[in-house]
Amino acid sequence: MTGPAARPPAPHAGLTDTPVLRILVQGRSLAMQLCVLLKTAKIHDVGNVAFHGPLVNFIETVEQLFTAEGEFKLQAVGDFLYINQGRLKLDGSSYASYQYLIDEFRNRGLSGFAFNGKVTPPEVKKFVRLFLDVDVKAEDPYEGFSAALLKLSVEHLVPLRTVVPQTGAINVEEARDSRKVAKRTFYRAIEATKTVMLSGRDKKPIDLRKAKRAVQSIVDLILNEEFSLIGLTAIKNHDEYTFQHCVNVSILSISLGQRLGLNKKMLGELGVAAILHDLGKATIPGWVLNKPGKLTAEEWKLMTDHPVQGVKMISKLRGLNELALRAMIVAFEHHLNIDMSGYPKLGDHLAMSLFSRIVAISDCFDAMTAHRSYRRTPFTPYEALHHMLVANREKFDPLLIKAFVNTVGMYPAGTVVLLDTNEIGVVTEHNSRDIFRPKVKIVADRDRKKVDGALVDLSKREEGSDTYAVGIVSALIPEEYGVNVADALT
Amino acid sequence: MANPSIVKKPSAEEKAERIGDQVLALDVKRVADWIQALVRTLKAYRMYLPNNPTLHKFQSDLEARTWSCLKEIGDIVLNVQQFDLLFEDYSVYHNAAREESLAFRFYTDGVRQITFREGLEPQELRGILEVLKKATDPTQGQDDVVTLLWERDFRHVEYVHISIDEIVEEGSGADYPPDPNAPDGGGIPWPVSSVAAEQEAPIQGPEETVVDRSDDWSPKAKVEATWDESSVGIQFNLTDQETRALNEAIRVEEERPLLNEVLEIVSAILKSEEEPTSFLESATSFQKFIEQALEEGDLARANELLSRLRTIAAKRAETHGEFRALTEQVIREIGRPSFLGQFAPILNAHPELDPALLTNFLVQIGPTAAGAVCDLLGQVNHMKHRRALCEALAISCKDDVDVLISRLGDSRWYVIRNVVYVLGRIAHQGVERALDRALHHEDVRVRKEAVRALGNIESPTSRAFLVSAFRDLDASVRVQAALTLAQRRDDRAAQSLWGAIQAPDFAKRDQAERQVFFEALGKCASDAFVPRLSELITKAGLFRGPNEEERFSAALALAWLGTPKALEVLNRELQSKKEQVRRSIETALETVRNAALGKGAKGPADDDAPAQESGPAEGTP
Ligand SMILES: [Fe+2]
Ligand SMILES: [Fe+2]
Repeated sequence: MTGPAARPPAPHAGLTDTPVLRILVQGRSLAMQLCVLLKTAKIHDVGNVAFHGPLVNFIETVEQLFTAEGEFKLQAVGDFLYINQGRLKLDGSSYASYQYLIDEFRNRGLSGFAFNGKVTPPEVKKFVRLFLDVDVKAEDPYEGFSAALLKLSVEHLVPLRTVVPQTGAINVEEARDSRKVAKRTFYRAIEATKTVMLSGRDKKPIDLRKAKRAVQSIVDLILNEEFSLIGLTAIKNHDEYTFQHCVNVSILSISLGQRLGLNKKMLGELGVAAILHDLGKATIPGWVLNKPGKLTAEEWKLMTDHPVQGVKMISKLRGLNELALRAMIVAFEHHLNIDMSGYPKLGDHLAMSLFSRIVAISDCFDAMTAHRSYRRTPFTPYEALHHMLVANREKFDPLLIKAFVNTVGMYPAGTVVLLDTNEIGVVTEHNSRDIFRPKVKIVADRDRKKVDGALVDLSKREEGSDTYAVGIVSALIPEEYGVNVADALT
Repeated sequence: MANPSIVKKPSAEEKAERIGDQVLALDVKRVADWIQALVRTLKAYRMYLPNNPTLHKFQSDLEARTWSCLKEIGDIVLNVQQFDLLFEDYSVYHNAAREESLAFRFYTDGVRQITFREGLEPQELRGILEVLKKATDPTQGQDDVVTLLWERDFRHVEYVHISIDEIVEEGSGADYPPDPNAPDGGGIPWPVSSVAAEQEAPIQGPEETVVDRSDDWSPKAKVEATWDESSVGIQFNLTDQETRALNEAIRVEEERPLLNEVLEIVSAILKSEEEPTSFLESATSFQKFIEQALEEGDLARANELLSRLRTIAAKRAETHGEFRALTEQVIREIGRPSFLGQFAPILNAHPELDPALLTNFLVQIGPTAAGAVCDLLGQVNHMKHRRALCEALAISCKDDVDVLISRLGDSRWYVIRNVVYVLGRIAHQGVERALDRALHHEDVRVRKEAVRALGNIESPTSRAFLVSAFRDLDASVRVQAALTLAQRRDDRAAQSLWGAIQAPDFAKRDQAERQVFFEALGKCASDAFVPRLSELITKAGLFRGPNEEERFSAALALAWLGTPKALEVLNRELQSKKEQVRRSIETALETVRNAALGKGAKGPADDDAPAQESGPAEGTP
């Protein structure tokens, strides 16, 4: 694996300094401040001292934006807020405020405001007062509000009527945004897993809510099929691998579960159980987990005890509800094989649950494709799948492994492939209709020169013909061709 | 609870605004009433069985209110504050009791707004109740509200929530700073491989042959980078039959008896433990399941699990002696007051719970639970449950009465009476002194119980205490004492009763009491008393001159005595020339005959035995 220094600059690098981004950041402040202003004014009068701080902040932000942009607009379109054409990033901390503004706007028949100059404190006070006094049950609240503003000479804040959103430019943003939402969901899930695992290690009570919410977001994304999260699982981060592994297993398991037709509740439970499957590892010292050489009998015992440890740790959760029970079963069974070989060998355990069989497959797939301290190069996703399908077929549920191939494709995301155009590409997303024809990001041209190439859908046919435009010749070992898979996937 | 309190001061400048306010006030009231109905129904859910008519009444009231509310107001948007639900900025629900507050449950899980949309369907309303029930049910660990709402996927209920991090920031959640002593700055270390992985050393078990699949996957075979998919011999499209098989697998998974399976796993783990600490850990997991069974009111399962734990522990103790004590430690833990204390509402909500199972369970936990069980006695409504609790105490405290005795200082008479009852069941000399204390309790019901309890102890001291109760201020206690002492059926008892009868103040007692003393005397006396009683019939005058009542009383005593000698006297007097004498004798014989046949009034002795008709439900004395 090449170090970060060798990486070509990522397309988004340097974006933090662009004026576009600066405006989005200021736009976020503006929206949050407006929200605070309105909420404060609802409790106190605008003359109240509590109103002063938010007022000053708001005026400053308007000034900054106006200086940078000239006249600008803050508008709600659909479920999002826009500052001019830029959509404000949605995150946990801004969500409620944005929603509040969008609702308040909508109630008044407004899409938002145009700011056509710097604003003064008396102007803002009058504006807020009038805004809150709008009779939202009136037939046309916009009309009265707009007239009242003019009457009180509030001129720099112009209300905008609700309009049908013009698409175009916004839709371009949309695609990039769903990708960002996916990534944020992914990293949040890793954070949540970390919290859970560390609580487990420190023998503190485990709060599962964060993990549950993270899983819910994953399930929602997967059900909406907006953006494939599987690609993200192919990027292995060394430092956070223990946590990322759990999230990867969760994403793979939910994806497989969705393919099977599990309902939302079950997908949620499967996802959380998958996140917790290695919770028992939290008690294993790092030097054992990462030992490069052969384990002693003692160490091996410690290692193979993690399913049992997991059960014990989950049993300490406050309520032993259905979710906890399923998670305990999965933690216990995930290293068993379909023929009941594997470990732990305890009691007369006769069969694996469906959830455990799913997690076992996802677990194996992700573990094989991970960088390990004792293995310089990980298996490619393609090799891992091959292994599971051929050499170790008897270890997995034959139907589920089939469904798994249908979930991740024959060339799973992260696989480096040689195309029949002699280009080299990285698989970014599988095609659910043809497992042999995924979407591929070109990373080297016919002359093997590195390029930031196009995204090619291999299921596309040549125009006016039945033959496919491009096909895969073979899977490659990325290191042999100097391909950085992570770059292609992010 | 749902008094709409004004949060915002509306500016009342314009007339229209005022009218608007009036309309709003109506709406606020309507929503507040609706939420109140919701809360009531939720409470009813916990108190009544599903087919209870009262519950149905609450449900239909709630439904009616819900539909009318949505019809009148349209979408209902509730903003969530820590202890309040706000509608249009007015509080329509306030409850600051964290354990039961709906607002608090929503708030702590990060929900900041809930919207009920017009078109809400009946099954959605039921679903909402289910969600709220689960979210406020302590046995379910008060499930995360957001998760419950998310799982349900309601079409007409929307919610806005903040992230857990923000909740933590707001200080109402739990956050754990990284352990400063932990290696690698608090994370589970996962070193970068570049240096460590100089040599390709696949991870392996102690023996070369270990090929178990694990995260530490290390296949032996070299993988070809490319392979011919067709050679694998797997057709990747799922056939219809395979799809059906998978659907069946999903159905099985949905109906999986999760609890039983997990219990099998936990049992298997417990059986496999070798180290005391890990055995204790496993046994503690087991304990959680026992407690959960109890919380769910499943006494049969709780019993079964407890004996399963004992059985496993006994087997393991054959080789690991120390496991026995550890198991007992875990079982004792179940009896902690903070846990058993929660059991009262469960018992009250489930009158159908088998008292025998309850007794059995508590006996298995042993004397450490006694304190908690005594507390329960003060909180449990159903008589059969109180009886079961007493039964358990009587068995488990037999050799350790101190806990019980310490409870005699309780402020509630009914708790003391129940404890006294238990002491009477235990009935050995170690409790006599305590019972004597109870004989001086201010509440007459306690004193009576103490008399009954003393009756169970065969000793000179208990006899002396009983006799002392003849001087009690309350007639019913004196009567109880007389009858209790009479159960001894010996001359000493009879002598004591005769002493009481002859005491100067006996004449001041009312007639019924005096008769009971004679009845008692008759029940325990021997022929030695016949002459004295006979004399009373013929002469009368023990109480200042000839007295019909006295004659009757003496006849009654003789009739109860019922020996040939006594009957001889009665038969003789039946021939008496005096009609009053004859009538007295006839009535006395009739009374005893009826009593023997079970006719007539019940004895005063059974009026309010503990763990029977009366109890804590009666409230204060
Ligand atoms: Fe594992
Ligand atoms: Fe794992």
